[in-house]
Amino acid sequence: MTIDQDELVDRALRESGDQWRNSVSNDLRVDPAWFRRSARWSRPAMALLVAGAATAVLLIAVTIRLVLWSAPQTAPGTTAAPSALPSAVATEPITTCAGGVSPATCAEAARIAVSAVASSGWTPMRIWINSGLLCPDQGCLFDPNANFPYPIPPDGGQWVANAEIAFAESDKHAGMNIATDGSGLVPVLIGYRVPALAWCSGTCPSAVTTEGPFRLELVLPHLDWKPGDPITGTAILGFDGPASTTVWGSGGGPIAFSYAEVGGIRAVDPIWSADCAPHLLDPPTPISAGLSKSGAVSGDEPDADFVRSFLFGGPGVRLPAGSWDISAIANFHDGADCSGAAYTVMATVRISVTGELPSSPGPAHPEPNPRGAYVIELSSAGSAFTPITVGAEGAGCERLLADADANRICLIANNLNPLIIGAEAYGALNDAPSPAFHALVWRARADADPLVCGRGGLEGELLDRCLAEAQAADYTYAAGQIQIKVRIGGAAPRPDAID
Amino acid sequence: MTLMQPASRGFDAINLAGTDADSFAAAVQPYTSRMIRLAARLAPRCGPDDIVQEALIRAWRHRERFDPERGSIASWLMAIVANEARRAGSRLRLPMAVRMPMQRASVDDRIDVEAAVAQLSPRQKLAIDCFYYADLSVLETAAVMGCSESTVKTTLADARARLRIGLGEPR
Repeated sequence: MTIDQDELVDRALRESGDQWRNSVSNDLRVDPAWFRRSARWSRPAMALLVAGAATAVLLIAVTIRLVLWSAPQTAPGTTAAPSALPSAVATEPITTCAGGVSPATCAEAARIAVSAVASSGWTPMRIWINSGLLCPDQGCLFDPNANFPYPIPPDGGQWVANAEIAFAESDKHAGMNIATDGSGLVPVLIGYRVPALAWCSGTCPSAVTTEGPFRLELVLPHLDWKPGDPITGTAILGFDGPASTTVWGSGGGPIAFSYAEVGGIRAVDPIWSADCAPHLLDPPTPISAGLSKSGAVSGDEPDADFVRSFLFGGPGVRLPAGSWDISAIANFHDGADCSGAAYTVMATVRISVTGELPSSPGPAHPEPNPRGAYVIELSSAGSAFTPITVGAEGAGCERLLADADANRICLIANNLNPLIIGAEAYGALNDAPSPAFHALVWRARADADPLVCGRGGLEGELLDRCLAEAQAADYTYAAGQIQIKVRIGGAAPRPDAID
Repeated sequence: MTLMQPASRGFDAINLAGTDADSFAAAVQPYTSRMIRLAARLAPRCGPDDIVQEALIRAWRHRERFDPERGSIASWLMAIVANEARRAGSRLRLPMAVRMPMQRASVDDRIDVEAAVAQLSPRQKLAIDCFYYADLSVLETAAVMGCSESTVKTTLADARARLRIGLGEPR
């Protein structure tokens, strides 16, 4: 083809393009309100919103319920998002109880937790109630690896749980510890912070969408994955009704999954088999489906190569590096033989696939358990060593008051959780031997478990020293006029141990 | 012949991270026409306005990820629209589009050209749709296609070569 001929085709295409553009309406006014209320709109929700004004209020509530961790950012005290939300979004938050907290305590803790964050003006959407304590400083709130001093409960009360709350209007979560003062539960609000994606805070990350009586939840064990990691997760389709019901959908099951690159063009949408089969939905036994992949590649898409490799690249769900939206999509009808109303419910969780972050979350929030009774032997001013049983509440440590550090070590070592012991160094655990360091030695000896040293956060030379002292046959802690031996394996039975 | 078209770069220097809704709306407004055209070309059975709105909401939610050092805001937005259009099209779960027969006898040149365009390979058609119909620049077309600018130019040249055969003697 000559240049002239190419120009002729080019001209024909330009003319055709001009004519086509003139025939297409392209007037779209961008409304800032779209963004203010964009707390996770799903495409099905958008379509249904257009379908009927009668469903609009419900849809707003449904879509707002898709709470993840990247909504527009504001902070308590600012005047941004809350007022922009329609009043219809004030739905009941979803509460998850974990860590063995009793249902009654959990329910009450959730109630007071909501009241504690009322001043933020934000709408609580998810509440996690868990045992143990959150780091009582906003700077390390939700950080499962943070060392922090064991906080003193208010008014002589006892800690019973912690609460984490996610909001519709912010990606910040509220964190608080909850104590009981004998007459009721008392929330101690720590602050608001965006949980790092690597943390499985409270419980595992999840997204929930409710449409009518149907509830779809997508749960992943964590949000950060390495390339090549088989990504796991579970979608749960539940039915909130007085009795069981039957939905009709693909014979392969109503739930499938989509994967879409955030800010990119790579995406795989699921396919369902065309048959129609009944699926029983019983309120107490929802339908669940593990993360899987399905889809089709036609070759006429810019990401065809990716889709092909994703679908046919072997078993398991594996995604390349990047940020991805994983969506569980439930497609079904509420009438026999796929008649009646059609439902498409979608719940989306965003993950990061990177080679730089660990593929598993850090440990759970530290759970203090200051009930690790153990045995020491005390010698004062050269006297013979006398056994002392340090009680579950630290009784016996007062015998060491002749030396403040020894007394403190004795009390700190009463914690069963090495993280709590290490936290007593206030972040300087590895700088120099401290009461926390010696307490780790004592706890390691009492438990006959040298690994306590490392689990408490010791590193380098101090870790080596702790390991040596934890296993030494003739270990003695000397301070002024007193000397203390700690028996190896001298800990009381640990029915309450968390490890 | 000049393939390159000037990209609208009036807002390209904007750092979108942290912008409020009003500023964001103002920043993306100049690109909506091309976004709608792209959506209409890539998902003709779906409402382009809905696709663009959805794309803009996605862009808003991920605005902190826009890096002006890595590309223009226009390219970024077009890639998102293309993704949304493809998702919207796939959700319809319609049968594969039937290729339109050649309409050599048509008196409507545009239809004739479009019919010929429909005969192109998928990637050639995508390049033509983006560049000639949606009026995207080569750079923006590259963002949509996920390839380099030179690949876009090559693809366009190949497409025109095929179209010359399909169109006969273009006027």
